[in-house]
Amino acid sequence: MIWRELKRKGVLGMNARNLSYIARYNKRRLYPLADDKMQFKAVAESAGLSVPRLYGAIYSVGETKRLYKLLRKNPSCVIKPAHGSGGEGVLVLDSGTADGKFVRASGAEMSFLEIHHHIAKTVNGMYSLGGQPDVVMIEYRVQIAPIFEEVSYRGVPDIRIIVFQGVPVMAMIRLPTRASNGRANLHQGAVAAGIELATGITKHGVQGSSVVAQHPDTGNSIEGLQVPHWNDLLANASRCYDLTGLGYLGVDIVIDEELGPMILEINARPGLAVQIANQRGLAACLRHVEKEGKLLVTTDSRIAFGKAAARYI
Amino acid sequence: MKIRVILFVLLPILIAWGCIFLRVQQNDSLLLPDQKTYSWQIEAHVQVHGGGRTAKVELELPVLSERFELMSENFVSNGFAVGILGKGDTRKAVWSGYIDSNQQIDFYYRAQVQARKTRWQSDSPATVGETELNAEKQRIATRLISRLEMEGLRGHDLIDYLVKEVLKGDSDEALALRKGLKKKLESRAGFITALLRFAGFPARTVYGIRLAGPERSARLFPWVQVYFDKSWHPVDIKSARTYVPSAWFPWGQDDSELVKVRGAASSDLVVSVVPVEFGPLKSKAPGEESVLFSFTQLPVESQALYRLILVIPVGALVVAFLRCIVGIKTIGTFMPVLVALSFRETELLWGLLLYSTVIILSLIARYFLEHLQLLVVPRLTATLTLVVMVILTFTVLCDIYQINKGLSVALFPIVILTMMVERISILFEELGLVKALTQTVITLLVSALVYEVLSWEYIRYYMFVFPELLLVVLSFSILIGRYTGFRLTELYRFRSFAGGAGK
Repeated sequence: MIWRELKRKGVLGMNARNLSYIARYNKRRLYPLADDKMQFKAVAESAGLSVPRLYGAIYSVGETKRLYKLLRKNPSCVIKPAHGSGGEGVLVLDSGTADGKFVRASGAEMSFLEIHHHIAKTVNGMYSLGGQPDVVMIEYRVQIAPIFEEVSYRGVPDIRIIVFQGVPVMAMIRLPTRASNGRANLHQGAVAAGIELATGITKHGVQGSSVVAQHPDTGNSIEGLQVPHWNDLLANASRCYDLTGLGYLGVDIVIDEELGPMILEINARPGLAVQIANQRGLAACLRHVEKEGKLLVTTDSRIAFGKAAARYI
Repeated sequence: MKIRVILFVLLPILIAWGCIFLRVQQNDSLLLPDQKTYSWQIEAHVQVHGGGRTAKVELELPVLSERFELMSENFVSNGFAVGILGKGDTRKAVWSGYIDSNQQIDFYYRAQVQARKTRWQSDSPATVGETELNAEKQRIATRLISRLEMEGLRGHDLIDYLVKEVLKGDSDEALALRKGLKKKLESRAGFITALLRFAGFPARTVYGIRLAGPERSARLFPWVQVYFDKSWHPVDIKSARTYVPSAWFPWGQDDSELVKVRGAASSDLVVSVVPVEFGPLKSKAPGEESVLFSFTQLPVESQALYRLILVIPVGALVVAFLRCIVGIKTIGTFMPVLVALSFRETELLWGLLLYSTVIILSLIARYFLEHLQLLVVPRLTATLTLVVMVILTFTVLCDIYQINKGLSVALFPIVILTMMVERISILFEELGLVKALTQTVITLLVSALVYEVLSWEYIRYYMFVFPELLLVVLSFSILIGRYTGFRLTELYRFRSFAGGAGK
């Protein structure tokens, strides 16, 4: 029976995730830090972690002039809601044109008025949880690392690392596709590939629910890519636990061509798709950490524990 | 931890069990709903076509009867003043007001009636009533009655025999009395009324309907009521019997025209009947104090509301079950419960049809709004206005094509619809048309399921009679809340794990 098979392989279900991990290890009062990207960025920056630089923030619809100046000064940028989820409401600009328009990463032109409308929608809470008023962040646009250029369509891939009690337990890379419109969102059609935790080498990918070996748009193999700065990535992810106190979290990291790994955001309710990408169950890893990895204090020991655990489980 | 959860689950169930036990000890008939005590929803509908002047609509209201009691009644007057004239057996509803020419107005009277369980005594009539028998027939009747009295017949027996003899018998007197009598039931009823009055019994002709099953247009037919033993007893004119089926519900007296309209043209009165299983429970007499509070002590009018309130948690439990054990996600957590509640106004199929149509049309309109690039709250206002406009169009169309369901559309939860349209259009933007529509269909299907559960008579009955069952609902929700197993849909989501890793 499939039920028993999933149980045997230690697959974590939604109910178990909510009850046994999120409810138990993530205190509710710590949520705002994970949900508010502005706040997290400030905290991470002051702790010395690398994050994409914030050019500016828009707090109200009226700040038209300031917005225009900001965009003119930094025409290559990412505009995103501080409380957004699932990549909703993110707008990536590439450059400005001579006649005052802007070019999106997709190549489409966009007038300032259209951008302003998008920002107005965001400020009014269109993309935030519960429709609450939001802040728009305008930040540095990460430049894709050469190794990923072959396996990405337009956007920049991001690496999701699940960290439990400071121990990295599982990781995947999300590759933008034409179907996902250049975004790294799995439910929009991006490809996810599991990453060998011990080495940082990618495994086969999945798109939706089917297993893929090649990137659907570029045709290049997804398997066997070495993620650069792998140990730094794990260290960054692990430190997010110390920073936020969230026992069970997903850390999204991007790798910039020049600036190296940068923490994009953290998620207090990370999804379960990482299991499909790795074809491994999370529950077994989590239980192992619960049993033996709780007392680890240094980042290095946590990473070592996570790597060792990934080999054996 | 575990023990605490078990305690939290078992304790409410035990308390509930105890309460139910107490109630059943007092009245063990509660456990099995008495399906024979149907109650009936009776509706009289008349449509008036105005003539540009003041019109007056008079509707006779049901006669109090020894067999049925009125549990509740209400009037749909469409803005007209309604007054009730008279009392007891001669009540009338009177609507009056100015009606434009070409204006059509519908008047409804709705009553919920139920078979009496206890004996009922009506006031004795002031007079026997004037007889319409002519002198010739009076003479013959005197002869017949005195003959029957000589045979020792009194009271009920005398009436029974007299009616049978006069309508079916072939004695000289009977034939003479029947001479010139028309075959029509109305005239026969009038004749029997006159005869009984002459014999000294208060009698009257009544017109009523048969309560047997659902009926769209029930036919009124006459019978005679005669007063003895402190209440009115029916006499069947057709079979000449004084024992008539208990499903006869008397409505008007003396005249088959229950409605009189002055100052306007009107359609025929349409009387419809809907049986309601396990109707309202009669309030207890003050003497019968029970240990536990029962909602059946409430006035009949407010019982209906509590019947509804008490089943809502059951609906929510269904949604929780679908979410956490089956794994079905709907738009808005309890949206299906709200939608299901609104289906009660429209019935299921109509509700689904109306919802889908309103959603689709509003989505299309909303799509054009999107191009205007509006701020969020004004856009919500615009969407709400669109939803209202679509609903109104529906009402107008229903009116033109004479579909009465259109009336209930007006009670549709407009805000729920607006939120739904908004959520769907965001889903549409983010995930594409197919996924947005799938979610919508799933939400509507779940709503339909919740509606079916909520309208299941047994659930409504038991929740109402044993409100402590809410504790059981609480237990179940705790139980579902502690469930950490897979959701059924996850078996599908993670199916790639079943066929060996990394195939």
